[in-house]
Amino acid sequence: MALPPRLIRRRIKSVTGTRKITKAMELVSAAKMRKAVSSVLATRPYAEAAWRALCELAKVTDPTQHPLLRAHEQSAKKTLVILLSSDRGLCGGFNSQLLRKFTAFSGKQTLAEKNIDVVAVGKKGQDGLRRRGASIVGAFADLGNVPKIYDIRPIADLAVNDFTAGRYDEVWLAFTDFRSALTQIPTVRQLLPLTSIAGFGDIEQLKEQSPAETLSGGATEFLFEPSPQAVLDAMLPRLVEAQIYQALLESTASEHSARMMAMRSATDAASDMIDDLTLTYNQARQAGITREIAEISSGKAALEK
Amino acid sequence: MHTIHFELTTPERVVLRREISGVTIPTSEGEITVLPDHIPLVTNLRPGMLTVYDGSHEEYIAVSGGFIELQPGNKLIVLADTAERAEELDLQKVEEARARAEQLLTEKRHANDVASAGAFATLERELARTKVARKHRERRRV
Repeated sequence: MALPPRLIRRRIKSVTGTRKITKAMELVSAAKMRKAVSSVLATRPYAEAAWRALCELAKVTDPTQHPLLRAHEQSAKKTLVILLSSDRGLCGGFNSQLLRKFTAFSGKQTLAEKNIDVVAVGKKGQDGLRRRGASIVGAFADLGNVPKIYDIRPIADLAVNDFTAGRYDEVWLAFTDFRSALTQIPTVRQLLPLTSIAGFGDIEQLKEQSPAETLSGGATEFLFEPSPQAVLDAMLPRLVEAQIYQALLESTASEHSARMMAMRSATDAASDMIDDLTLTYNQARQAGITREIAEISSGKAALEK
Repeated sequence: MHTIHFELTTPERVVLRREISGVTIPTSEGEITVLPDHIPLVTNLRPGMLTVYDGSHEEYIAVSGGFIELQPGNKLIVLADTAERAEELDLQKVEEARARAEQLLTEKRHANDVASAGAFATLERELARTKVARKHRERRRV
């Protein structure tokens, strides 16, 4: 109350400016989110078709013997985690929630004890991981709003090569699953050995259903050129790529919607603050007027006496 | 008339989805032409030019690696890593990209195998693009 009206007015002006910025960021994020969501949907047909081809392959070869599908039998497991975070901040708890989930994944042991290496995608994730003392073996940033499939190819190559070379026994993917504009769930999912394709089913299932289907549907025998094995070799890395790509797009969509929500609450908070300040300002102004009237009338009263 | 239900998808989008009368596809076993009632087939796709026939009309698409899946019931699905339709390509830009790829290959030839294989793959993709873009321009002149 003691604040002079002039200062309050200046404060209102500055908060109004901030509200304009947060409002604009909210709208921009909403537009980017819509774009990201539509590109998530656009990746579905590819994964679907690849999955169907894999089902056909399962009928003629045992896909579980492929190096990308077979679990390594080793006691001392070395794990690689691909963490997909954002490049920019101001998106609420988006990155911190993902990092917390990642820490929970590593359990009570430290990262070094558990033999976890991390590939960090996004600047914020890198910073957070460095603070936690994780061993970062790869760092990618600036993938942009609509990442292309070739942007993630180096990441996929790194994961596939190191896994087949036996440097890592498991590869996990830490990303934020986009459920809706309001809910995004930080998720840690196994990528290699490939045990399931998100949204389609488990590789194990393939093995079980294959004999029955071969018996009943012998008419639709597929021709594989040059050989089922060669086709499988070419297809599986693509499927891994598609998985990472989809996770990245999910993360991008989540980032934008998290930012949109953060900016919306910032805008609301700014509006509340402006209302509050306006009230204080009017009270101070009114107090000033009342005081002046009191002074004038008391002065006049003194003269009349 | 018999037609094939043709779908060309990349991980990013569905490039083409429609009924066609035939298609020529570059595969790892050589170029094949798929006409209606082809037997079910799964094979690898090579970088190159994909020609789609629709009656007397032809359309060219530059693709890089991937695979194709021909399902029973005249359904053909091409899963390409990248695919661009001829009208999406700008010949001048494509030529520049190809020159870059060639230069990269000569530089990397004496480097390690991985780098030169990578450069070679890039060149193959760019060559396919050039071919498609040229073909498109020729047809427009006619």
